[in-house]
Amino acid sequence: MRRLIYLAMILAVAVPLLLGASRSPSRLVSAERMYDVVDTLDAKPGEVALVWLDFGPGTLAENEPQAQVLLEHLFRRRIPVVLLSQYQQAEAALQRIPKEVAERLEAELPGERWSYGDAWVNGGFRPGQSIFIQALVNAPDVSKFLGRDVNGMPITHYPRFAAIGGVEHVKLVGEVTGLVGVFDNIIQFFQKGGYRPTVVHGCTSITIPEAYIFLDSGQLKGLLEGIAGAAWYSEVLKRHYPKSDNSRLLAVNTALSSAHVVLIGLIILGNVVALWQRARRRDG
Amino acid sequence: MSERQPIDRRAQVIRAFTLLGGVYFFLYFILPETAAESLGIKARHEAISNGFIVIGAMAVGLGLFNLVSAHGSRIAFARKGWAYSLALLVGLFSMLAVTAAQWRQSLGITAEARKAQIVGEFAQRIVQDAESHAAAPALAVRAAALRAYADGLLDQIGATLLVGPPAETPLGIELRAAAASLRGSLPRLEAVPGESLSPEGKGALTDVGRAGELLSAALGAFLRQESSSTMVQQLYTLLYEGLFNQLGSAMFALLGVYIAAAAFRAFRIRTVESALMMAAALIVMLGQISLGQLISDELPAMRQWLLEVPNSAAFRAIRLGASVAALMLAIRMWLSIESGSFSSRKR
Repeated sequence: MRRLIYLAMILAVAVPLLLGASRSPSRLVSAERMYDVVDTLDAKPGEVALVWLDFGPGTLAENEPQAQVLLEHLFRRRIPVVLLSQYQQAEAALQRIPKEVAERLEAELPGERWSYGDAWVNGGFRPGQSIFIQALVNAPDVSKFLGRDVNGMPITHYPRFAAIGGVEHVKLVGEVTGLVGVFDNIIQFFQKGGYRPTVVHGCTSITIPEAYIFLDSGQLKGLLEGIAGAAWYSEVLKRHYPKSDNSRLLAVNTALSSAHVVLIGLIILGNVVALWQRARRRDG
Repeated sequence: MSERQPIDRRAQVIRAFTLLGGVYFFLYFILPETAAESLGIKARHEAISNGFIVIGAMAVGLGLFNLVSAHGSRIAFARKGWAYSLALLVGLFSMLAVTAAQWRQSLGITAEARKAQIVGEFAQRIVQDAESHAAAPALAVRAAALRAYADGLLDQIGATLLVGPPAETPLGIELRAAAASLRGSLPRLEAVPGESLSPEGKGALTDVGRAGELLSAALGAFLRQESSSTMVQQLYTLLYEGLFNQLGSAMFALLGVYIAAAAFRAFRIRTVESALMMAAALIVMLGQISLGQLISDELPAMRQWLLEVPNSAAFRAIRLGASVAALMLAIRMWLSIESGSFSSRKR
């Protein structure tokens, strides 16, 4: 029986992907709120967005699309992005994802450039978690505190990031993670003298229930709930930027939806079988 | 009469540092900014935080030492499972070696880009020194030195990088344009007088500085593109993207299959509570897939309500309880009540 269930799950994911099936995602209000927050973000010259990519291979499938849509939106709005991580296994994602997003945008909009050092800088993995965040928010100049980027170049070398100044010039903090605890660090410690930047979050499906308490309290302004959240965000992006290509993300979301349908079917089947067994026992 | 226990100095030192560290961060967190400033803590906080981060990072080294020690001995004495230990250590050392080589390569690229960065910094420094009347060689001498350095750098870039097919790539063309821009701005340095800085001289130095910055950025991007085809980079991509990422993703993907099997068995209606839980799970799942909207337009809204109201209430209660427990545990650790492992004495 277990083998049949495994087979059903594999087919549910693989068949839609192989057939290229694609359905419009379900509307998620939390993702829409996040879109509005990023879209109306008032970042003046010298102000930046700080995006933490705290995920490794384990949750890459869920967190990568979230990081992609968030960075795509920030890049389109020409808001400079500082990338950081509290998780050492995120190193490859920090290097690859912004580069791929920039290349996709450059292909979509010939003549426009999103280059490293101008659109984004990669501050790399930073150990220390809550201690590091407390030191960062208390630093008089974020650029100087971060020191060098992942290539060993001083961050002050890049004109758009040369003098960020205090944490008041970080207008948006994005945290994309599936890990427990790292998002709490941002909520607890990323504040100084009454200043709290706008915080948005991309989480895995497992951590959605926990993230909702911060969304409800207003500490979190927008949330991407797993792949479904990223898919709906990409759909909203496409409405505003019709050339944006979200076909791959919609295909993945469709495959995931198909797996959900199989799961729901299994739950119903399990109950029908249980009822039938109970009835047989009662009849003797 | 009972025998007197010897004093465990090692444990005492650790307990003292734990207490002091806790006192420091506690005070820094609760003291107003003005009080931290007047006590002189604020100015030293960055250095102290960095010290704690460095100590924390040492845990990685300790972990590495433990790993090598535990698995190395298993291989050396051919204990059960030694082949797995060998695979682990081979993986560890190959990844370490390739990552170190890639890091070295990256530092080399940065050092090359830094050569161009110096042009911009030097030009900026000349202007600053002239404006603040700092003791420095004559302006014309410094401008000539800047020009000679930039000319030498441009010749080197032209002879080594702007040749062959890589020079025709988009980044190669960008590098060529940046080099041409700097070359074009250099003759203007002749306008820099020997004594005080004129507006024309300042303009020339500013232009050279900007061109140097542009060249540095273009050079860095070009060299990084070139390095992507080196053996070290390809090995890194193979190990990290080809093996580590795929294996890690596969491990996590297995969860989906297990959840499906568990759902079949566990979500059975036996009581009113289990029926409620199953109904909530079905609504949440249906509400986030497109099929849900086909069944009813209200499903996403119902899902949202479930997550925002009953879920948030329950999770707040859980978090509150867990936080109180965490606080108690933190206080016990701070006061070294939970510090049995610090002691060198066997219990």
